[in-house]
Amino acid sequence: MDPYLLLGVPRDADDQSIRRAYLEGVKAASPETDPERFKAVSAAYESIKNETQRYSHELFHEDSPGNSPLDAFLQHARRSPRPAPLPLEALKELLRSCSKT
Amino acid sequence: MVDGHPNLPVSALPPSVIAAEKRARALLAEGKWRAARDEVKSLAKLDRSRFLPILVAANTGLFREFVQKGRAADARQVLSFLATVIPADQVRALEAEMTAAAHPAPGASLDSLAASQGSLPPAELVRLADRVVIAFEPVPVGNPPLAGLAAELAVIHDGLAQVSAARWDGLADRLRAVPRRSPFSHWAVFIKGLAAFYTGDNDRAIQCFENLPAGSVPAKAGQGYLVLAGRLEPDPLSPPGAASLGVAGRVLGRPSAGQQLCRAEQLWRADRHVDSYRVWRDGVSLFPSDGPDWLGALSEFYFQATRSLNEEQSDDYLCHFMDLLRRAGKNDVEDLLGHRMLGLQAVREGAWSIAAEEWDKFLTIRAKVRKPNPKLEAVAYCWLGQQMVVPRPGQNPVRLGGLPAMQAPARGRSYFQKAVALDPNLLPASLWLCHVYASLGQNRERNQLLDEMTRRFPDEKPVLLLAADRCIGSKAFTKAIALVERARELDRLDPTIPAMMVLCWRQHAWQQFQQQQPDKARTTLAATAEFLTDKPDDFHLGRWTNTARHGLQEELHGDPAAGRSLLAQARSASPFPGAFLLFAQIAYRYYAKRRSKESPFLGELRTELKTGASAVRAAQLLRQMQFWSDSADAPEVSSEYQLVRGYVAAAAKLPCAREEARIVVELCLSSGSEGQARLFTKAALRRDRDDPLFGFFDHSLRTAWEASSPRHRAELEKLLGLAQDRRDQEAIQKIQHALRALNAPPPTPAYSEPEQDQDEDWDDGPEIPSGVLPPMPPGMEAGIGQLMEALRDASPEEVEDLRRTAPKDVPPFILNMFIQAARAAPPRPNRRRPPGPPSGQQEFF
Repeated sequence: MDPYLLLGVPRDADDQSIRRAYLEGVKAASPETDPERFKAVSAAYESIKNETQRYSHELFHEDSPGNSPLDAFLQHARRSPRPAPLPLEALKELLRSCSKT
Repeated sequence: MVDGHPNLPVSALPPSVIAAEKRARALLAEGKWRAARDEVKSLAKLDRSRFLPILVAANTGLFREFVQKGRAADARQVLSFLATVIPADQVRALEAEMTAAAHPAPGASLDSLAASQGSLPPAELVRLADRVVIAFEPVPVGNPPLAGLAAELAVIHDGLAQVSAARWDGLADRLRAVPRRSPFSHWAVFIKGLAAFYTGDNDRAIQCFENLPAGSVPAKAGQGYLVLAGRLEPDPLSPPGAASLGVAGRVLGRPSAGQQLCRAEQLWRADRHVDSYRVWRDGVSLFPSDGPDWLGALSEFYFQATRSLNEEQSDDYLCHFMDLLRRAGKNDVEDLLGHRMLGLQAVREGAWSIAAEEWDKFLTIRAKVRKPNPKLEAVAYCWLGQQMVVPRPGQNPVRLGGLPAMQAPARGRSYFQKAVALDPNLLPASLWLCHVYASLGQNRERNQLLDEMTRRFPDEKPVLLLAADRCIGSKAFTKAIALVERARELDRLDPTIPAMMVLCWRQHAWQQFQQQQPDKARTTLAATAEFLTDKPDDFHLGRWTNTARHGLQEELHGDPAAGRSLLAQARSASPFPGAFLLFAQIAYRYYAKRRSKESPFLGELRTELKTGASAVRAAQLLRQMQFWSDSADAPEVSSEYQLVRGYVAAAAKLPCAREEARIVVELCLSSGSEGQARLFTKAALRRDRDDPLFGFFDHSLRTAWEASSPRHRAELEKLLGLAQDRRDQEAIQKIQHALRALNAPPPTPAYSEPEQDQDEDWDDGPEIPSGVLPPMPPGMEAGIGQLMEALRDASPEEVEDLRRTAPKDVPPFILNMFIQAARAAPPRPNRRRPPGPPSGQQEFF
């Protein structure tokens, strides 16, 4: 899993903002409430916490985010921060589309 | 009925009817109502009770399709047919649906809802309520009979607006105004689920979305949220799965994503990997992306996918990208990720020229797209160099890790040099360069680099230990001690540092003895006291061996009387006289630098080892022999090995505890003394013929070269059963390890591009005069050399591993010959291994 995706930080984030995102991540998913996510967030932080590690990650990491496009999508959805709620018109459109299926 | 026979079993139906039924059901599942109706129409005449439900489902679907499309006349025509085959209340419900669709004003819809509340089945009521909600019309006021429903509808609409605005406060309280009996109650549950989903309460969200009435609009929408909450594994090949993904895509703000994801997944599963990539490349302008969103995750997937493909698929996939990039990538991200993927693959295959080319392209584009970054480039070149100098698993004639069989040392060296030039503060690059210089025999360059490193990294433990090692090699012991002491200040828990300090002091003391400075030597030796242990088997830091060494040094260059006294002390402190005499014999030869294999201790040692044999003592002697075999500058010890083997053979004839026998067998196996191992094994099996552990040893000794034969596996499985019956954990682990090794595919040597370096200046070793030996096949000579080198430094586990994995066509006696020859070979100069090479990428990056 891409640590930037997991922590929700941009590729050019600095040490401080990565640490901040990490702390927020472990606060939201503590070892008791969500141990799997906690582990993933911690591992993500370890892999990009300083400049050399970020370079190394950018250059050579070989972790695939999934076994297929769908798997990559689902794993990303499960581990990344929640999207913002849809605007009301988009939500209405979504519900109307559900009535047609 | 079929030909007038009602309810015939399926087997009695003609095959054409069964096929038609299957087709009809498939069309129903796909929502192709008209086609399903046409298919089943004639069947219903054959067997009404069997096929009527399908006909009703097809017509109901068609009716709703017409209603949604506003084709009221067509809908009415279908309804008039349905009225002849379904109960009246169902007809009324369908009529209500049509009315609600024709009059979207909630007042009218609410009217229908209120009118139908008592008579409609729950599913139909839910459907009607859904139509009322998703009409999103202003709720009429002042209509007393409908006031309750209107208020509930208003709460639902308001709740959805609150969710969109991410206003969670008070939402739950407001939803309480919708009671459970309300036709809108499932909408309240849905809104609660949305609030839980967006506020991170996954469990609650899942609970809400999973408890919605099947087929309702909230339930269908909830499926998409369940996908994103990780609860649902949608199957993109089925219509419901595709619909869920469609909703998930909408929730993420990309309405077309669900459809594209289904298509890309279908193509990927059909092994059309390039076409799958094309779905996104051609259909989404922002793809590929390196952003932290799902598009970034998908991009990442496609550029990391080669490792999950087989060789042929991977080649096709990579060729496609090579072609794409040759014609210029779609965007910078495709260029960057593409060259990176090709570069990584080239490194995996050992195609160094391609690797260098791809990585250079990657770094050039990156510098252009972002900005030049020497630090990142240094990390890149350091890593690239590292890949070129680490041994490739399975490439060597023997699979022994950590041995200095570098793949492309000259290329590696140039990359480390580049890395150091780009970022002199990148410590791993300097450490690796130092290691490569040492391996290539470039001592002058290594020394210069080490001097620079000690200036640049004065507080780095690996640098201090490397520098100390060099000082020991050049007998600059005072400086070496100072460096190791500094390293110890940095890390007081590293056990290698005290061992190295003792080595420095001991060597320094010996130098002082040789320089006729016995007092200084004694003072130096006294410093070792802090680190000595009372472990009888620690031949480096153990107290009695230290006393013995001191005694020998005194006897040879100091005070002989004091030396004799110290030797007497060591003898009495040693575990038994044989252990002392063996140690003194070899240590004497070391200090006296005698080519002769004799010492004042040899005669007594021979006598001593002829009596009092025991397994415990045999183990002690074997450990000592291993210590000397592994020690730097130790003399050649084959004659001492012969004595010890005789002692071990004698011990095998005497009774001993099972654990003692196990230790001896393992030590014998790791030192190439199979004969002695066999004696102990047989003795143990005579005592207990079903002992699984010794059965395993016996099996290993008998079948070392038949690793893959079915008989071998069957015997191991039988032994495993015995071990499991006895709960012998040790035997279980060993046998399982052996079985796993059987299951593992044999290492396939990867193609490795030969180095093309014209300017090498290291020494390839002494030239063998031509004509002395018959010519060897190309590469064989180097292979044998590597094998000998590897065996000489191999750990017991590695030797055991080698025995198991050696090719079938190598007779056992040949390997034994190699093992014994390698063990008995004179030690290489300067075989200390204190700091060693950087142990791997993980440690530094």
